[in-house]
Amino acid sequence: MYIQLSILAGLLCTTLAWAQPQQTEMKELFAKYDQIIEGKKDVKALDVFTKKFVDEAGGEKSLTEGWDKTKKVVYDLSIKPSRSNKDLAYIQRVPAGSKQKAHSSFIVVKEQGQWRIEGTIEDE
Amino acid sequence: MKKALILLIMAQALTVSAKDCAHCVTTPTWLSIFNPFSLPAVPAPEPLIEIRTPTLARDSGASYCRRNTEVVDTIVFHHTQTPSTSTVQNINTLHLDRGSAADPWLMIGYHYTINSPYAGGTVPSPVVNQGRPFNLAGSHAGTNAYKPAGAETRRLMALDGAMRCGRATGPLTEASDKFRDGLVKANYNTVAIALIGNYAKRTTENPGGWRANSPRYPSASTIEMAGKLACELQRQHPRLTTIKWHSFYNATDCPGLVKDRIPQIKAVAARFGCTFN
Repeated sequence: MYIQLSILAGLLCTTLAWAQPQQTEMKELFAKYDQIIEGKKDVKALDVFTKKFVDEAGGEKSLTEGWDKTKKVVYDLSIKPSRSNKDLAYIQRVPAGSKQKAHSSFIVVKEQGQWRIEGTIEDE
Repeated sequence: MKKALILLIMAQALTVSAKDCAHCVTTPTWLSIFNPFSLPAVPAPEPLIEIRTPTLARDSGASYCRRNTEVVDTIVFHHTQTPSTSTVQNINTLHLDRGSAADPWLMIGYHYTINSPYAGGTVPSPVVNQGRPFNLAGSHAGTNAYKPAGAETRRLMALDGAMRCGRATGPLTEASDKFRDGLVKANYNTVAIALIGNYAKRTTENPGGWRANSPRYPSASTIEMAGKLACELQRQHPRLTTIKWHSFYNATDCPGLVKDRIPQIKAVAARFGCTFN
C-alpha cells in the first residue's frame, strides 16, 4: 500500500511540476508584453512574439512602436492549455476583479522552448 | 406526308434526349415523343468558384445540431483575428480546443474560410475551404445571440425536424432553444464565412491588428472571392438572401474593416445575378 501511495504521490508531483512553470511563464510573458506596450526599450519583440507574428506585423519596430498611451491596468489571466498540444495554450485577460468577458484569446505557443505570443483568435 | 411528319417528330425527340453535356437537363425520350415542341437542353450554370473540402478533425464526443438547410437565410461574415497565414486546419485545431473537456466543440465553428491576402500583400490568390458542413449549425454568432427573423424563417424553424441536436453517441432531439422572446437563435439560421486574417484595429488585447493611419482592408481579390462565394451559396440555397457581420450579433470588433467592404461584396454577387439585403 505504501508503494502505491508513493507512486501516486510521485505522479501528482510530476503533474503539478508540469503545470506550475507554465503559469509562472505566462505571467512573465505578459509582463514583458506590457513593457513593450509601455515602450520599454530593453524588451525585444522576439522576446514576446513568435517570429511568424513579428514578420506578419512588418518587423520588430512596428510592434514596439506606436502604441497608444493607456492607463496601466492589472489583469487577471485565465490560462487554458490546449487539450491536444502541450506546446499550445490560450490566455484571456480581463481587468483584475472585473466581470467583463474577454472577446478574444491570446494564442501562445512554445518556440524553441520558450512561450511566445502567436496572435489572438476571436471568441464566439 | 403524315407518316413522314410523324417520323420527323420521333427523330427530333430522340435527338433532344441525347446527353452531350455534363450539366444538361433533358426531357426523357418517352415524354419527347408526345411533346414535339420539347425545348433544347439548357445547361445548368457552372459553379462560380471551387470550394475545397479538406479533411478536418472532429471531436466525436461533442454535441452538434443537424438542421433543415431551408431555415438558413443569412450569411455572417467574420475575420479569424489570427495571422493571415493561418490555414483552415489551424483554425479547426484552435476551435477544437474551445469549450470544455465535458462539452467540447465539434470542429471549426465557421462553414467556410477564405484565406485572405491583405490589400497590398503579395500572397497567392484567395482560396475557399469548407469548414463545418452547411447542414450543421455553426458556432460563430454567439451562444446567446438571438435576432428577429422573417415570418417564413420562423415558420420553418418552428417545424419539428428543423434543428435536431445531440451527440454522435446518442439520439438527436429537437432543439429547445430555437426561439427566445420571439427571436431566432442566430447560430441556427445563419451560415458563417470567415476571412482568415486580422482586420481590426490594434489594441492591447489585439496586438495583431492594424496600426492607426494604416487601416487594413481585404484585397480586391478577396472581396471578389467573397462575393462569388455568397452568390454560389445563394444559388444552392435560394432562401439565403441576407448578409450580416459578427458585430451585428455580438459586442465584438469582428470582423473589423471587412464590415466596410460588405457593400462591395454584395455588388460582386449582383454581377452574377445574386441579390442580398
